[in-house]
Amino acid sequence: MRVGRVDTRDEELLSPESTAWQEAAVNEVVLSPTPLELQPTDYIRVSRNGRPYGAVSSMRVSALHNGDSVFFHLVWQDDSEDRAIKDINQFVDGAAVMFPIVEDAPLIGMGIQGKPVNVWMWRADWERPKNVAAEGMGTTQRRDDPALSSAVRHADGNWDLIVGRSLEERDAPPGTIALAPGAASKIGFAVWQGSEQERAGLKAFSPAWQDLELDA
Amino acid sequence: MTERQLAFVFDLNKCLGCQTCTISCKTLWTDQPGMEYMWWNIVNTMPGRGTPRDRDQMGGGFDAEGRAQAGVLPSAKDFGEAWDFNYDEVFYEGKGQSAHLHPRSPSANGKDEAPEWGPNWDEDQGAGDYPNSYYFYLPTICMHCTDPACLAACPRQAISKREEDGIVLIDEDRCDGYRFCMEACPYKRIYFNPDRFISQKCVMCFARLEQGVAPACVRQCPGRVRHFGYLDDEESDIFKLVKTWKVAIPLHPEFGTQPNVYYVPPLAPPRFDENGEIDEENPRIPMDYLRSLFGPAVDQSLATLKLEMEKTRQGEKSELTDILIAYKWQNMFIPFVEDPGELSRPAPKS
Repeated sequence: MRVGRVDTRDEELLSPESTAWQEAAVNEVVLSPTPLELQPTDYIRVSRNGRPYGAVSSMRVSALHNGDSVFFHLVWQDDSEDRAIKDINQFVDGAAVMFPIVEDAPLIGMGIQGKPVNVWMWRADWERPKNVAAEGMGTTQRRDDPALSSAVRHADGNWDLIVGRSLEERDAPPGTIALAPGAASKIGFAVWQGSEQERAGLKAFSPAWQDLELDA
Repeated sequence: MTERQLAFVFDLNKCLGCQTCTISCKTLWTDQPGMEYMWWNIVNTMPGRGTPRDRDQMGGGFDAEGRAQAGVLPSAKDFGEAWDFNYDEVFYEGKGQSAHLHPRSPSANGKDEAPEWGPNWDEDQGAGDYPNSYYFYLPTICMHCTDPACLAACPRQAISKREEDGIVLIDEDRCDGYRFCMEACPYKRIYFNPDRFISQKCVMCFARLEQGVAPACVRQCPGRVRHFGYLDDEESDIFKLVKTWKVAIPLHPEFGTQPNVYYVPPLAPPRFDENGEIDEENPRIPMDYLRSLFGPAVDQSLATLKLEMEKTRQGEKSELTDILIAYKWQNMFIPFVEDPGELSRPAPKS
């Protein structure tokens, strides 16, 4: 996945209507449910056996940077807009992009001890995305990160989300991916559907890392 | 198994359904925003649907092979929401003579809609037909299970069981509000706090225990229903009722979690037969119903209770009836006998 360089201000890149996005290349990312047998507890495996999850099968992704910040524009179908917890048995929609901190960090399981990953996670009831460090299932540490930003709208049965972060590394929470113009890394994607009580490892995800290259 | 285990015995023959335990817990632990609908301790009239509604049909726990069972995540309505009341109308709008105070469902978005359910909503129902109607009260809290289904279900290891006393606790810093624990708990004693996005439940008043004070629900019970102590302390009421006399038995042992709240099952007055004569042969509370709650051990428990009570009636000494009468209140929760009113306390924060 190529991250094109544009000469557009952050504020404008945080708008889905921006012409920069209309001109950006669109990548079709195939998603599938996370494997049931890899869910972390017996309870989750038993309770979701025969109760499908992770039904969102694809996502349209564009990526741009302007030398200061990088932005990912994610569009996926979700007919129900779950923005708030209205009852204690409800869950909200969410999405995330994930990067390996070391080259061979596994995507499945969200890293492993000694091979961490970094996740920028958006949830429909949060004001801004959170910066998540993980070294395997159940190890996630969520942190507030003022360098993360997002913009979102729900229209015509689709979520239309832009999530971005300053390329500045100073004051970044521990475990944050270092991206820079001309650099290469890898990326993965995940989507939670609140209406299907999806949370934690119950989600749709891109099962393999995709190459990520930032234009110089 | 942890090194030691604290346990409760609730004597259902003495519970009068006053909910003093419920309120003592509420005022101590669940009076903060997001906790309005929580009742970590609740007393239900039985036979009844329980709190949350139909909780015995909500699944969870383990099967006979120890395999996790799927469970239902209750709604706030199932638990019984924290109702609003029309105080403004009655007290401040000049309608004191025409409007009467009534509850409103908080999920009705301001509409003046009466709630359809609440905690112990079926309080005054019971079962059976006159003159053989019957009911009893069933208090429930977190059972601090030996094999907690909540702990096993959590993907974040946010739930732990303390080695020194077996208390099951949720680490609020690790909890991410996924609520698998609420689904997996077969007793449905875990609540979700939507304001803090974490799950919460009875903590066995561990902060009081560390000062030698019994849990609030135990100490506040006016009916002397609640015995409390270490399961391995041979001098404790708990040991004698559970291990020696075997009259205190777990609720729904088939849920497979080995709960550490034990119940002395309810005896009932005898039945009247069709001629209005006392029928000693058939119990008023059907044994099948009691077995559905407490398993097959309830038969022997009730037989022992009857025998020992009869001894007492005949003027003989019965250790069991003496324990259950609880002549000396503090003996019910040895060694947690400190009076919280006499403890030195840190100065309140300004």
